[in-house]
Amino acid sequence: MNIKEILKPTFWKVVSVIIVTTGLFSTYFRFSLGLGATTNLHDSVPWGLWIGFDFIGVGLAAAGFTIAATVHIFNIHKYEPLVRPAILTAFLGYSVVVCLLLVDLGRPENFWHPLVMWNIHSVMFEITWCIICYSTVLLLEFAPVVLEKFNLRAPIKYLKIISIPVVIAGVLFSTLHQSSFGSLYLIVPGKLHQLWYSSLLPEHFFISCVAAGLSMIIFESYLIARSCTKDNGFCNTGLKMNILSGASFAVWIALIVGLLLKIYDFASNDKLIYLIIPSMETSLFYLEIIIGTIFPIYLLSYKKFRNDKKWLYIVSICVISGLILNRLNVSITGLVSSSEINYFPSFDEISITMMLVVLAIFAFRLIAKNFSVFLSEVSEETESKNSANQSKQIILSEQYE
Amino acid sequence: MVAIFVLALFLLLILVDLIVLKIQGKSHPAFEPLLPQFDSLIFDRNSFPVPANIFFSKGHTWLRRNDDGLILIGIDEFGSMALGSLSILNCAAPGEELKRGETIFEGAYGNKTVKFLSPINGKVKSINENILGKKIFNPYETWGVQMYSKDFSNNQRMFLSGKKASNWLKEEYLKLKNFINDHSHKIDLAGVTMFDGGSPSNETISSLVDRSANDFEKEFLSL
Repeated sequence: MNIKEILKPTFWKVVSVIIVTTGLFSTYFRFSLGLGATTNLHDSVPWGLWIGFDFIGVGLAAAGFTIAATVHIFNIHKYEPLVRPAILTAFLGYSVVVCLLLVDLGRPENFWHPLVMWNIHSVMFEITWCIICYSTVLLLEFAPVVLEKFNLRAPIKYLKIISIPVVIAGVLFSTLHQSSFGSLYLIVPGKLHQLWYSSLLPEHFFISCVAAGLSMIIFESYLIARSCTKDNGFCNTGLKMNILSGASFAVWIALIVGLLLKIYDFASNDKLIYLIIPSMETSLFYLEIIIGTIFPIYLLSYKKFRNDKKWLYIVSICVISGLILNRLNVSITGLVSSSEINYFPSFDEISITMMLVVLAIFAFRLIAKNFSVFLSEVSEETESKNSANQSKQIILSEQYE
Repeated sequence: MVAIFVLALFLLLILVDLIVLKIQGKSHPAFEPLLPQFDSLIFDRNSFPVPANIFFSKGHTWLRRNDDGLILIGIDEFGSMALGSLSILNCAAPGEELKRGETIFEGAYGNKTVKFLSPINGKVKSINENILGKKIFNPYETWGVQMYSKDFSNNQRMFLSGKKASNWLKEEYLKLKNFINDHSHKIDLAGVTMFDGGSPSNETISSLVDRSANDFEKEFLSL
């Protein structure tokens, strides 16, 4: 990519520059004027859009551990081409979360306190440590991609030696804190609306993030294919539908498990009555379930939809939308009636969030274009393992030039 | 309301992206009728012209309406050569009432038989006996069955024609490549030659595993 190409104005580049510039101003105001002056957060609503986005970011990053576990622990190498994009997504997702947490902290300069001041009885303590450890794991998992680029083979050798323990540690940390986000809301039984409050919240959070994380990978595959669109058609990165439709089958299973868990939760806790009480919460709950669970389950039940690139894209958008609704419903909508304050984020909250999302997308695109993120061939390691099936190599992107 | 706001923003960005692409004259990968792979040869061809007055069913039969209202039905080019040269063994009998999805032709690739399904409801008026036991060399001139059908006009939207049919055939050929790759005994050979632009041979079926004909019916000949 040369400088001329980078500087060539396009619609999205102009929009991105506007969003990032506005976001930088908002960040300056937030740190110079404080939370009270720049956000709509206050003592009754201490957690707002930023915490909601933390949940969304971490949830969508879940493919990092699911794909890594599928390939490296369960040895299903068909999905190896998804490992790098999944880890990069997870790493960028967590980076956005860390940045949002820093912005959201009343005293950001004290961010290091949980590292030395341990409160082992706090869920927040577990979450903090898991995020720190898992971000480190993701860095180690993604490091070979960067090292390959600069032909530094010696460190790659050492990283390969520790790769399996690192992957296992990643799965462990990720599983722990994905569910811990749900645990966080177990302490507000009287405040969180009954439609979302459940003793099974950790399980709900975990299962929904598996489905949404995989959907995010499908969505990103389209994004990267779209970014390679040239005036004369496509180049370089095509969509390998057999891998994506295989991943969508896993999404389908996770969604069904999630739905069954929800039905069990409602039936066993006598919460069915809340489904017929007309309120904003009920409408949003239905929207969340229909868009994010029932509609995708229906579509993914049919092989023709799973193999159809158009429907797969629509399904991935639906599942991601479902996760967005769920996390914001739990963290904001579900608490509105108990706090009796209708919170809506300020301009600065929105612009900082959008800036970080845009920067994450920009970073993903930049890294994907300059490093071997979307593999054109399976790794040498896999190739040797699968020498008997060489012609069955799974290729996510193929060269057609 | 925050949830609605964020969701609306997310969907709006996707929508704007689609509009921007449309204005630029490009297509999003999800909605692109031509797959990127079509930039390269599919077997030894890159275009699949179809006659203007013909409709295609997803079960690889074609339909043409005569001036007298009779519908001519035959097997399309893909069906006649997908797994080798197709021989027609049997057709529906004259006078037989056929429902959409019932067998209209029975053919064979080598020693493996496959069934082609009727794309419409109707009554068979006559069959072209000249095609029985023979291979099809000119698929769009060689009809197999003439039918009366009352619901052809109503169901016309279920069929493909023109550019749509041509694109669909390209997709089917591309699917066929993967099908052959997945079902081939000699995977290495099939993969190397075919993906370099090689054509399927007259004996393709003989190099495939036993269940191939059944799988082919399910994947390509169902409506």
